[in-house]
Amino acid sequence: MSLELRGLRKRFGEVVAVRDFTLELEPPDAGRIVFKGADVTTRSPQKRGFGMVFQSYALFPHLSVFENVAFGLKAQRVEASELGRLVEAALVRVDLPGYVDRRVQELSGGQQQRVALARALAIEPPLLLLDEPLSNLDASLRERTRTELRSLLKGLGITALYVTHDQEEAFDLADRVAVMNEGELRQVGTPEELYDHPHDVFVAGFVGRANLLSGLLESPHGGELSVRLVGDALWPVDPEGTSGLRAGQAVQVVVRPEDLEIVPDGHHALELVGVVSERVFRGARIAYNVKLADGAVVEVEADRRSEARAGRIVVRPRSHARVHVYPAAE
Amino acid sequence: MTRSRRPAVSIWERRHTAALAVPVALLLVWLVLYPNLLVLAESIREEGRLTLAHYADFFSTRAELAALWASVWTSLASVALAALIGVPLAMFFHRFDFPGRRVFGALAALPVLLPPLVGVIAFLFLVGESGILTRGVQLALGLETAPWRLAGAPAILFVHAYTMYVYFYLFTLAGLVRMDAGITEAAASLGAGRWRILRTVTLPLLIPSLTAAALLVFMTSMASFSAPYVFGGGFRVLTTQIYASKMSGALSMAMVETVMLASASLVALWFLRRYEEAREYVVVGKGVAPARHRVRSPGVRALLAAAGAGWVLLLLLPHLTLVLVSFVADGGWTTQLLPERYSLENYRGLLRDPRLFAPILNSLQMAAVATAANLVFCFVAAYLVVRRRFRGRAWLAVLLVLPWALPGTVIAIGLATTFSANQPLTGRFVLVGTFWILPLAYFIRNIPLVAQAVISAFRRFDPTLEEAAASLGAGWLTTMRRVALPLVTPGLAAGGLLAFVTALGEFVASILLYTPRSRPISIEILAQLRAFDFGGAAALGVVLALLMASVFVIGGRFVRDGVGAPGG
Repeated sequence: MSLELRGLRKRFGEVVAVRDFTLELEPPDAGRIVFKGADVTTRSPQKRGFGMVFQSYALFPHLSVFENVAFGLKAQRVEASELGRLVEAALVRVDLPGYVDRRVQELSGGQQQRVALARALAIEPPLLLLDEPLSNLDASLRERTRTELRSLLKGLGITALYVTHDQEEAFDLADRVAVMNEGELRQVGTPEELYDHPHDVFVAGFVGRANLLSGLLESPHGGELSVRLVGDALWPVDPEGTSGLRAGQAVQVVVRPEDLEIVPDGHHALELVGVVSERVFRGARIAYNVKLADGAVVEVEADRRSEARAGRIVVRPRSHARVHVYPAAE
Repeated sequence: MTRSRRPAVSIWERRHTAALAVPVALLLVWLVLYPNLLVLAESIREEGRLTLAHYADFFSTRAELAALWASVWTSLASVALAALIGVPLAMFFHRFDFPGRRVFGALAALPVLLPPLVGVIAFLFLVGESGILTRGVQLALGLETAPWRLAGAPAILFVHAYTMYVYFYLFTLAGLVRMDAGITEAAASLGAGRWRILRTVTLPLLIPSLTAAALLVFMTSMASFSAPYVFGGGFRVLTTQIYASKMSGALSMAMVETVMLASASLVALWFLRRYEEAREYVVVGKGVAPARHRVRSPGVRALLAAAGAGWVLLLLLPHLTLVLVSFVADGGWTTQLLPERYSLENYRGLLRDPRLFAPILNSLQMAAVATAANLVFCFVAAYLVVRRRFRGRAWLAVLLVLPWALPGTVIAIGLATTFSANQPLTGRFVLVGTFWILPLAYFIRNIPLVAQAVISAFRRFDPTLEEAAASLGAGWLTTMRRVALPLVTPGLAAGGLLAFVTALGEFVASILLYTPRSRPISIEILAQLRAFDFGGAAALGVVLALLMASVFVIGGRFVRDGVGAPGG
């Protein structure tokens, strides 16, 4: 990745919001933006040369498709003879050849989105910024456009920064995902890293479903840590996330519904006992809400073969590597 | 995603904003604020000393107090009369559907388009002492003298009611359209009768619209000059009193009167703004389309259509009279009901006599100069107000509205005071007596009109378009030229047209400031009237109305063809 953001902060009145790439247009209050080794923090937008795709598309309504795509090229003083060829090439890339003479209002939302992309790509930017580009499309179109966008971005081989509130979209498109909350960067990593080893409770809950329990750390054999839960269940935890934690500390425990399994009562230390309070049919799988002795509710997802009856139920984690602990909030 | 727009902190942008805002603010302070402050200063000064003697004079002179009181009570009465005509009319056109509803509904807004002076002389020809209607009644009843005289307060109120009901009509109509028809249906389903709904639901919901219309009529009436000037006779209001004082050389008294008039207008403006703020809280639901009562019975339909047509005819009567009189041959209309001989000689005279033709050219030229300046200035000012954040922005916006709230008479007195002395160091130059004083007055009076149109055009289009242009490498000037300017062109065109047309027929400021060599049409109309050349005056009035209409027709097409911003 060639873009670095160093210690950026941006406030909007009371709200601290280094979020979305508003910060690309509005200078940050502190910190630096470094691109390919050059500081571009104070460089005005028109000199940065980053391609941008806006949530509202921001197509110029008074210009034709051709004029829209040619806008950046003209600002770069590309010769008129070259112009037609470059615009047509940009439109071919987004699969809209032959649309040059259309007015932008005649296009569908998906087509407008692609014109916006072609316009940003025409100036051959070293970096492409996309600000929730799909959020104005309806659900089915959004999914299709996402697939097209993925193959296009992978094919182009340029760095793209994509802002979204949709975790599924992020996982689908990104090589690396940065999760932000309240203006702070919480975790950066591949989708797998984020899902399997979330850095904190927020990330765990944001990417996928997660159960949240409270427990107390113990170190029964003097070695690796385990967590004592309600009803005296004792779970070994993922050793990768325990640095800085010690026995006796109160923690929050995160485990995903599909990482729990329903087992027959075996009076084993791993087993957590509760009562089925709700059963939700999800097609191939079934989710149970299990109410524990302290009133907390745990969601368990099982395939249909291990159908449980109503009433008492026993669950345990499938693997200790899927049990994550975090210091309890003060 | 919503994002709050806050001051951009880049030094480049801050400097750039300052480079635009400082000249705009200086110009506004110099031309809008400064002249009025000078008037205020003059009103409390006597031979270099501060004194309240002029105010003491004002409040101890019967005639002055009478004029102040006359302004206030005729304005209040104008509000009441305009409401009585405008509100029922709007409800009528809103509720019933009948043949011709759209055409008649649009024509009902007509009187506001005619320049006040032309409207006033049209009334003179229709219901004045020797007007057509007056003679008709006199003949029918076999009277020796005219059955009424169109003079004094009743005449002024008559003209005001006729022209100003349009505010109530348009505001009530807008309020009714905004109102969710579901609300009245809910009231009906709860068992309320038609009158009960009107009294307990519809009217209370219309109160914000009615208040705004009432304040507008009050301000317009306080500022009204043409009707009191032509019909007032001995009955003086503040505007005509100012004119009389100025003409008789009682300058200090003119200053005090101007301050009084300006204060009254500013108080009304303050109330209006407060009500507009409050109005934003009125719940506007997504709304059910208004359930228009479709009249079925053919008899009633014909009756309603006839009522609508009759109303429009009544509205057009003064205009038709004006056209008729413009074709009257010299000496062709003495004591008869209708003129007997018609000819084109009035129009031929306009073309042949350079004394009569020159004012038309003058007005066109001065209006063009003023409007061109308005377009350039208001584009920059509107851009600043909508797109940039800087200290003093709210004050800049107030200065942009101020000339609208100030009566033309007040602005003219301010300019006459400021630009009749040569003191370059205090920003005063001699412009009175030159060509430039009237274009300057028109420019100032039309700033709010054009600025408002461009401001709403800027608000209608997404600022991301400008950001998109910047991200594609376009500099500020390129972005303005290729993105912002084309997108606000409909607003510029609409504002510019209105400004041009208003300047063409301007009378109130012109009469206090004009120079004989470049006198405008309105002053020439008055001169013809004074010389009892009614045909000539009417012909000039018709030419003025035609010029204005053609500007609207040509320009209206341009505005409609212009590209609107998305969703605009």
